[in-house]
Amino acid sequence: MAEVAITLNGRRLKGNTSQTILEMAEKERVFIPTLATCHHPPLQPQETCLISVVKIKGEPRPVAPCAHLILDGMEVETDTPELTEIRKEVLSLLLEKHYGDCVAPCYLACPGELDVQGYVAHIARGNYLDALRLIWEKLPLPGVVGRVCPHPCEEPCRRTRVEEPISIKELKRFVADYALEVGVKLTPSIPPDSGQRVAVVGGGPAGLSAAYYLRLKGHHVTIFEWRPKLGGLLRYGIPEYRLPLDILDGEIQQILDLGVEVRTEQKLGEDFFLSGLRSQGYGAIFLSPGAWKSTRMGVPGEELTGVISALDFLPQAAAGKIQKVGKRVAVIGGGNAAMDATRTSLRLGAEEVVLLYRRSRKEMPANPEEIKAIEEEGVQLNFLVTPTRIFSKEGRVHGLEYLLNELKEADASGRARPVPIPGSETRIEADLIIAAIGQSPDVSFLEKEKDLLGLALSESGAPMADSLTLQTSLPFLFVGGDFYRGPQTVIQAVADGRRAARSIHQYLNNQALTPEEKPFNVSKGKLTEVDVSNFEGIPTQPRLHAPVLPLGDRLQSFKEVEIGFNEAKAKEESNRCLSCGCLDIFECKLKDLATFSKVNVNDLTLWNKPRYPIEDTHPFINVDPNKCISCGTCVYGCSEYQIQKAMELWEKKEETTPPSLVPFINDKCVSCGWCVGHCPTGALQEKMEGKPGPFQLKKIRTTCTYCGVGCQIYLGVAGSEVVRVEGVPEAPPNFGHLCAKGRFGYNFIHHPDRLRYPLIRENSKFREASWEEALDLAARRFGDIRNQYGPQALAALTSARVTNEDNYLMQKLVRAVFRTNNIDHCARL
Amino acid sequence: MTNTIGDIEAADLILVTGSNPTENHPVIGAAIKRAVTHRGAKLIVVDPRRIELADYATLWLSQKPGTDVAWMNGLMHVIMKEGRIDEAFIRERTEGFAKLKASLETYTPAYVSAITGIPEKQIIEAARLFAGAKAASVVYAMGITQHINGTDAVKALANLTMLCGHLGIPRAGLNPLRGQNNVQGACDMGGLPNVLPGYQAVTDKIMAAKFAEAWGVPSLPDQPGLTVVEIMRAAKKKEVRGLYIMGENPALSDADTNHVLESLQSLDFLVVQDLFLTETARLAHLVLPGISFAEKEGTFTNTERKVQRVRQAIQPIGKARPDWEIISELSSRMGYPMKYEKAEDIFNEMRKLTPSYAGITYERLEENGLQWPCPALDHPGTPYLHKGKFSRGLGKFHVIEHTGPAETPDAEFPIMLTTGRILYHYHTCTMTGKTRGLNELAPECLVEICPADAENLGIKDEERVRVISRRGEILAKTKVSSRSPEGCIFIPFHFAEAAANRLTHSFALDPVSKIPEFKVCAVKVQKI
Repeated sequence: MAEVAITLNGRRLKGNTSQTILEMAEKERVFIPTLATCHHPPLQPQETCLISVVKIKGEPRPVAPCAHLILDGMEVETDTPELTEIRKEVLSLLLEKHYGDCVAPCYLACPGELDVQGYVAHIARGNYLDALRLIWEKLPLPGVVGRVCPHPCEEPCRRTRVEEPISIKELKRFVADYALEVGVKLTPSIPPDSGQRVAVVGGGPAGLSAAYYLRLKGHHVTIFEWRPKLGGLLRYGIPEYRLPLDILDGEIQQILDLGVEVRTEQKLGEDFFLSGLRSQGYGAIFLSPGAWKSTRMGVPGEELTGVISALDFLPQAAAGKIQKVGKRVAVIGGGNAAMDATRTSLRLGAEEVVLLYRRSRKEMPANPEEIKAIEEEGVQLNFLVTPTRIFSKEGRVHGLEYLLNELKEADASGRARPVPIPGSETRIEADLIIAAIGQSPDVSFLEKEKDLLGLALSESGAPMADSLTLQTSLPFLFVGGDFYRGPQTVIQAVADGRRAARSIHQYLNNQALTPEEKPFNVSKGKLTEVDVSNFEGIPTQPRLHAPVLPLGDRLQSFKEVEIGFNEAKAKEESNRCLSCGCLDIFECKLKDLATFSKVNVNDLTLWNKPRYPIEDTHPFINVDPNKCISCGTCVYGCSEYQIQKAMELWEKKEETTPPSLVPFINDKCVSCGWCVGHCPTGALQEKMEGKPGPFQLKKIRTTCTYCGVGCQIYLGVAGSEVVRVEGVPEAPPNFGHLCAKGRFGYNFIHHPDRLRYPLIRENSKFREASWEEALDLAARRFGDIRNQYGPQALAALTSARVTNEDNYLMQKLVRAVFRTNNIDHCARL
Repeated sequence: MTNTIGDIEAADLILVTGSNPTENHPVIGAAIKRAVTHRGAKLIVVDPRRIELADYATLWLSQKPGTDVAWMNGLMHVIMKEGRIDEAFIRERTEGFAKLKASLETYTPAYVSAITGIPEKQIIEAARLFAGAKAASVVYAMGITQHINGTDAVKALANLTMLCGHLGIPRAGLNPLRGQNNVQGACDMGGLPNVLPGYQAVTDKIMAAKFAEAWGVPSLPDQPGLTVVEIMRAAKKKEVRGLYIMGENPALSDADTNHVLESLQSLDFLVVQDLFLTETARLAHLVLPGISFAEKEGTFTNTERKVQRVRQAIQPIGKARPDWEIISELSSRMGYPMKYEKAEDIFNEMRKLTPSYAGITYERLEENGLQWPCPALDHPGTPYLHKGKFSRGLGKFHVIEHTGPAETPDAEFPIMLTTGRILYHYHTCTMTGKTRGLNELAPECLVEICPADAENLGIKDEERVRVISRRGEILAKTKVSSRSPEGCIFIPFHFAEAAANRLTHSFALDPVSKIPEFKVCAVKVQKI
């Protein structure tokens, strides 16, 4: 072993001749992509993964860094265009025989990127607060969004191919309500004050979300809101029968409790200016005042008393300024604001409410549940109409006239284009006409701003921004929510707030702005295209719906209409989840490398159906040959490390494709878990009792509880539950290796049979007791025996399973308090 | 263990006896297989059963159960006769060699073969291999110790090891594999009737005074207490009336469980602290919920004397509380306040009183464990013992003679029973029995019987049979396998439904260790 000097990516480094290039690079924290763990001592590198390549100057071809020792004067490059190309090519080849869904379609469809599969699994396991904690990572308003979200996640739900999608929205609401019911408030820990101040303009969902995630980074946050209370559209746009105020207030308060400063009734452009915030010491500004400007109908009579936009009507109704409406109300529009206007009118005394929409039911943008609800509540739906004139009587609105439409080919929005039919004029009477045909951001304040030179604006006059970092052309100014995007969903606004907070944090720390990376993803295809074999044998189990208030109880008040799941329903519904996303997503090396090497999934020709059945007969491991990339790591480890030869790769010949290798576990297997722990993809997956997540595990290093070897392990904790055990690769005595018991025998920890409270025997039966009672009893009885029969009448058995500390204290008790040496343990057994 | 676990894989020769590592210590089992496969290490297996490691062994010696001292003496006899002893080691580091030498005269291969059933040739061959290795590691477990002469057998193994100088050096040594995670620690902590923490004798007045002062009590009891089996006997006689059991299940794990059950039922007051309502807890007057290792902070000490951290991963289940906390609370209510904030405080008190742990702190254990003795904060720990010098100075050769087991087969009970464990279960299944996959792999107790015996009894594979001893009987299915030798069956003791310890006896114990003879008793097997 001699000391040598080499050059690694241009850096002169010292090492010794016993080191491989890979070891040297790892030591120097130079990342070399590698797929297999075949260089795990004492195994010899196999050079089979082909991804692990570096360039040595003078060598004609790239070499495997795991198999080459460093030599004096060696010049190594790990990151050249040639190497990137090789890696990309090899990865592409591997990925083309990799069939599955990396992440579930629900996750991909959610603008907020919520880990739906993860929290649904927590619910199925009965860990509701864990589910809520997981939701809070991306969404600090779960009770709100669980009520009002149009749930784009449910649309692509693969369960639809069996019967109907999972009620994801209702499940989210359930956990939020559950936490309220049991009185648990999640309080994230806040780091020390960063010394930085951020102004959030607009206290709606985007602003609240930004404030929350900025507080998690320790920044001081002030929210400026022009209305008397926070909530924005949530409070002033969504009626209470959909979103009760106590739910909204509760969730807002939880965010404010993290130490957010609030200044209400502060109108931008009047009471304060963006440029002024800068001079007041705010290092960054998040601008999210919403989209409160109504689109005008542009018809004669629009200015009449009795014609109002939904954006004026709903806030006034919410604030109690409108308490009664006339007998006949006409609402124009097909979105959720229109739905809200109809239902609110009914609750404010309208006897007849008509909805006028220019296209047909199919094109209505409102949530299907909302459309169903207005029909139930008695709103008349008038499709394919275009208002042309509003007429009056005695200075007040009296009705409107419209033309009937026919639908022509799709317009830019992708929806059929309504074209009025000449001569089809129709009149209806109305006391109140509510227009809900569109909204946009109000940018008039910009005219009053001075020092915003250089702020790039879009055609509509709103600031432009990078769509991922949300930074405008003024580096300190970030935008989001409906103000930036136009009317969108609450979850989109929340996502903007979270992303902006990340960018602002980076900006305040003078870091480059890096939006969250979109990881590489393979998919089984669009909902309708997924091969039918994926759904064979799944028994149907209909979707559960949340109960609603009976119709008779609804219209007299603003009482919440949807009642929500109870625990049993939530559990049942969550168990319908098919767990589409790969269970190994959080540890998939293939995905990580494909992301790192920027492989474009659209360049790949993926299988359109599985070629091999999933083998699930092993007690702990599922084998999915459709995800195997034939790297051989499992076979190698099993034969060379565990010396078991239980893992095989079978060559499968097929007519149309080159032969592929399929993993197979034979009956020599002793369930040590080496293979499943080292599989770089999801070809070998660990089984889990109950819904398997997958979960991002918190890993706690500890010592195994079984035999005397004292293997070093990580307990993998999902939320509050231990769901996996892994060996610690770098630590003696086991260097990552385990046996069946240590690796898989952890279910006892959370087993329902665990003793949960003290038990006292009474009349040959046990009854639950408090600790006070139990300990008093023990102290009294042991004391009595000692006093009556002497110390030798007492004895104790300590344990070879409890800790040294427990043992030490037990013998101390026996010797110092019992006053005997009658202590032993069953170590001799 | 005198040496480290890592040393086993690095040894030139490994002698495995009374231990079935691939099932009971599988990580070590695989290490031994790797040593043979990758490094060409020699492996000698001495076991009545053809355990899996026999397939990897250079030599497999199948002795009759209960004849360990005989084959050990036989090996030494050959080594001596052929002049293969390590003379320098014996001269410089040991005493009592002459007496040992004389005592071994009678243990000729022929004599030993007659007792043990091992062919003479194999005895000679094994002796030569063992003596010829540069560094040989002896690995043993309960198969050696759970006999009425278990202590003797361990001494004989020590004789064999010293004779060839395989002690006090790396890659060698005398290495018992501990069956439970913290047996070592429970002993180190003074969970024994005769010693205080750090093996400081209760009869030693200076020691007792040191602890009494530290604990703030006038004095400590200075007579050794009762062992497990003695406690059970005393309970039956109403001499012991109050018993506090933490984390043990003697109703299933102890020898002659029928006797244990009677004893536990005789108690005036039994408190059981455990994770589950075990067979033992069901008999208690008071059951206290303790916590599992996943909920705990603390330390375990493994079989190689390495103290390692246990860290809390989750909150206690239900209202369960840390075991140390329960003990403190009880103590305080009995008039002796124990006030500890956390497990670490207890450890720190302990290490001040326990010289071999004095240099170990939680901080030092953060990365990896430390092997005791570790007497000072700057001491690196002791990977292998007896370097240069034994703790008592010179290593003593003990003269050990062969004696048979307490109960041997006879006309009424013609078959020998030996008990042990299997890969997929642990102890009394209170933990492993909760994992569905492990239960799938090993759902029930199987009586391992060799094909010849099965044929004689007219028994087929997987047939339910009755196994009867003088203490009790069980019903279980058979597993006809040539792993077991003729005349000997093997039953795992894990299963409550067919508790092997209803058959074993505790009437004769090892005189020193007080261990019952779990590994040999006489039974009969009946067709149902």
